[in-house]
Amino acid sequence: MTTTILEAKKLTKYFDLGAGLFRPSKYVHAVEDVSFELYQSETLGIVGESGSGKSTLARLILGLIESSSGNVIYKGKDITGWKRASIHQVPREIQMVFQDPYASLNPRIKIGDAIAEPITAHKVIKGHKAVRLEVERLLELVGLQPEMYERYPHEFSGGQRQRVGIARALALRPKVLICDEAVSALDVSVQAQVLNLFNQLKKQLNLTYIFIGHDLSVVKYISNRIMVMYLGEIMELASTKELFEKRLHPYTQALISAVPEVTTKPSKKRIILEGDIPSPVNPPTGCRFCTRCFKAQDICRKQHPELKQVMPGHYVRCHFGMDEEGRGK
Amino acid sequence: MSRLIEFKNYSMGFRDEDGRVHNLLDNICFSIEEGTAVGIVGESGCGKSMTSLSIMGLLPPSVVIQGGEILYKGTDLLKKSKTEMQEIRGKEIAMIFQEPMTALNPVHTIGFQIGEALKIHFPDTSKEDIQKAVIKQLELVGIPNPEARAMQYPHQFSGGMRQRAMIAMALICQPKLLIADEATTALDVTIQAQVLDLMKRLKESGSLMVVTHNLGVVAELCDEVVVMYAGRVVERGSLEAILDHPLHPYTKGLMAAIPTMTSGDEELYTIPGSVPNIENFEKGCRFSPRCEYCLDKCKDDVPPTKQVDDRHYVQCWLTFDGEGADYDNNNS
Repeated sequence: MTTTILEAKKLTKYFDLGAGLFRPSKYVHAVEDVSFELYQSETLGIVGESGSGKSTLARLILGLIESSSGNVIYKGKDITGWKRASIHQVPREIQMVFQDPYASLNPRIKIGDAIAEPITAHKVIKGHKAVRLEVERLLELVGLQPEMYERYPHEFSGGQRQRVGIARALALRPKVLICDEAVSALDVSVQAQVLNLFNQLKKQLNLTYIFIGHDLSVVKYISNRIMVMYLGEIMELASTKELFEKRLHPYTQALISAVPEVTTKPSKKRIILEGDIPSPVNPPTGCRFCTRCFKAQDICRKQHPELKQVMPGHYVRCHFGMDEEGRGK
Repeated sequence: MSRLIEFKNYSMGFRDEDGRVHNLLDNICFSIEEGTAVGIVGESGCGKSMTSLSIMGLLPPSVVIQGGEILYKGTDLLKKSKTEMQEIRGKEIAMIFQEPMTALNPVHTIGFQIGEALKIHFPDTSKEDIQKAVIKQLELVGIPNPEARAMQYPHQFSGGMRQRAMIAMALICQPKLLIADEATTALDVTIQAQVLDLMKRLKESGSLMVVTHNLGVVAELCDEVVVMYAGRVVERGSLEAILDHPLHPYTKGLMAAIPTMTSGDEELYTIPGSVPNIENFEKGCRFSPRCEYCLDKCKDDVPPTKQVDDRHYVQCWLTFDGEGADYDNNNS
């Protein structure tokens, strides 16, 4: 039976743009009413275009920003936001790997010391020697040589830096790892190495991942379940296989069909969406996707669809995504 | 079909602070036929952008050209003067850059910036005609309400729209060759699909050179593919030849390393190591330290470019079926 390790309950984040002299306060609706469960030892992929709220969601879970409403439950404990009492306990078990391996390392700090920093800060291991041994173990774990402790970030390639970023995230022996576009900045040949590393570590350390990405084929490869987001809302959530086979939401259909494939076969009919993702300051009324949806009806513009479970474990937010017959071709 | 662009043993490098020259592009040979789309694929630092900038004559000042020719309709672009290049740039050969926000001037209207090329290359055109041409071009690239949009500034455009405006700007003089350097990389997939769709329609009007690291984009647009690694063309041929029968170990590895929509969850193939830096390129085959088929001579001698099929060339010491005489001798 799958156990839930982390749960988001109606997570919402509005960023206040402030009120002007003659205008009322405006808000960016970054994440709205996002609820999902993360199961032990799975990889949950989150896809969506820029501005869909994927990264904000990751930061909300980590407590790096305060949520406007909603809760994050980790192993049955509410860890929402900046609750000082729990900050030394829980966030240690949820760590994050960032996108840009160039920007996330301090150029003047040896990479060994960079990895050791969280260990000493949280006082996990005491004693100079013991910390160093631990760092060397971590370096080996991510496929680097322990001798690299003394080197500086500029001596590393992009792929190696990302390995350092992973080692640092693993330093506190987390249970959940949030990877925010962790392979997007890497070259294709290096990206495969890092993806394999993620899969190895998952088995070796029994990790649970939230894998955020915009490259659908990468997210599909690594994830067990996928959550599709659009303008801060969950549009569809299902197991990877089901999502790709059924594609109940029109946005999922468009997203999947938009990926250019490496094949010489004549390309399938592509769904080309009109226009751009609307501003999250004034999201469309009704369904958020209605302005670009090729199936939009009157009801979509008026009534906001709820996220409904259409099959066990398969959730869709669409007025027409309810059954097999309703999806159309 | 006639050749529009032909690279003939073109080599260039960078001069560092100590005055030493590091070679990047080494004996580049490939051509673009009129009316075809050629994709230049490779990872970061392989010299694909330098290849496109060489055509445009927009190389940074530290670049040293080490030999060879770039023929445009039979004349060498490298021998042309600055003013002659200005005549060609924008009118005959145009380029779309990766980042539309930095490529557009924030203090001029979109319409002014699109019309500027026309004003420069055809000074006799009247203001009204330029205005009309701009609006027609904006319409062509699928910008709704072009009359109003032409009067707006770049910040009023979204990312996808800016890239469309860039395409409109590149196309206003109806160039013979359009170079798209990572033109869709910064865009979201659904916007990328729109721009690819647009570029596919534009293919009819001229030749296209697509510089990208995304093999999917190449598969979508191109007829021919040039695969580059560390400044050398390691393999080139028709799209079918490269995607369905890749021969060079690098091309093969690259194709196997990409997770696709159809791949399962088995472990991905990986090419060990990472892309080399210009200062530590190998003497022989530049891919040899990462190659699983590496032979002794690979390390010391530059591999020959072999023709294996009609228009399919591989630069490798390995033996392939149907390989003919050396196409050119890189050691000469």
